[in-house]
Amino acid sequence: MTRHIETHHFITRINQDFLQCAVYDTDHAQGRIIGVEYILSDRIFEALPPEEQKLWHSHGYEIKSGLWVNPQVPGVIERPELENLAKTYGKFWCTWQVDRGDKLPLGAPSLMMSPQAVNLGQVSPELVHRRDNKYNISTEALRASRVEIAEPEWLNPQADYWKQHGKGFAIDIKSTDMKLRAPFP
Amino acid sequence: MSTYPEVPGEPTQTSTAFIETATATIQNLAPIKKIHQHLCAFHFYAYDMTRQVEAHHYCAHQNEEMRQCLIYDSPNADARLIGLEYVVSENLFLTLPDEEKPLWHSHEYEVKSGLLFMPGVPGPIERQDMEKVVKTYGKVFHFWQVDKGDNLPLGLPQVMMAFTRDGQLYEELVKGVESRYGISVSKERENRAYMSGPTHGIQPLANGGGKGLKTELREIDCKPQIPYPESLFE
Repeated sequence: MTRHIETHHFITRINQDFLQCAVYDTDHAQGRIIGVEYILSDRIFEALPPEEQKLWHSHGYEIKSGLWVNPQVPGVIERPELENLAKTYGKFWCTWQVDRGDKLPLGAPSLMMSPQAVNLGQVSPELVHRRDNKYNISTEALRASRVEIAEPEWLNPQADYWKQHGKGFAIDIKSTDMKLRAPFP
Repeated sequence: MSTYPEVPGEPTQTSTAFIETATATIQNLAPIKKIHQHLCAFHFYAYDMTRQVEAHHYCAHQNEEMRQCLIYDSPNADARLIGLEYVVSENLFLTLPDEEKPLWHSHEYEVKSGLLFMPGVPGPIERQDMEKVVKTYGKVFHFWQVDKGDNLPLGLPQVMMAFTRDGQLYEELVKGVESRYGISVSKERENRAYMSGPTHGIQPLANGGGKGLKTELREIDCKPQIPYPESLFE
């Protein structure tokens, strides 16, 4: 949790309750695809099995704190989106660890979590300042302007699993037998 | 339309659609606009060759030796984003550490067999690019197991592999793309007979090193955070 990254989500909506995002490391044409995030409304999330819910994170704090921004979108258009998103959950697999300097995508995907209002969940201030400068915005001001966005009344305790349990998750890739139809390779 | 089960949820509200039309106009979608190519191919789960998935790749070049692709389950506007593929030149592949190589698959058979194609692109243009792809290696993760009927992306990322010889891929799947896209895989195989794969041959550690691969979830302790002198949001 000491490794924080800036992410740019390019989003398509399947329906009112479900979004899918291609995640890049920047918004330039040279941006690298570093993962995929899925976003679910609280309504659909609550129906998932508990073992699945452990893999998801909440978005309320990210939005309320001003960490989440929709670059270039005027506040009046951004606001209804944010109000909807504050109640959603996300599942983000990161496939390219650019923060550790990987020139090519190496290893297994990492499960990513969202910033939270507890010490362990705080984003490094330098990262926020760099972002703010780039887009000429102020996270502090955004945070103040979002005070009225309703806090979700209920956050499922299986989400943001680390907050309750102090445990994170890693993926291992193991060698195993393959069920075959013909010889491989 | 997709034949997979529908994603649960209410139809998109008009107000939501309106906002999204606005944001699509205002925002800089540069990385997405860089996508310039639609490739269709098949993947299978790296531990189960009998689970085979048609994969629509939407690719952008990072440079001459690397491309990155978003993988969808169909070419339609309501397609599900089911995974990612990275494609690198033989050169770059050979620089990878040995423990990384099994996660990558070769493209020689997929190209030479005619199975990998670009929907709607005339053969002569398609083959110019296939001459390059035939020498590359790819790394694919799927996050959404649509083939088993999951209506949401559940569980762990899956390592996927590509086909490497005749007899592996189900004939119905081939017939499906042939009829939908008006192509002949066997004719294209003849057209591509002149192409050759990686200069040094297919690296033996690629394609799972010949074995299956599976992902497992491991619980780990959270690393304690070094406290910041003063928190931004206190």
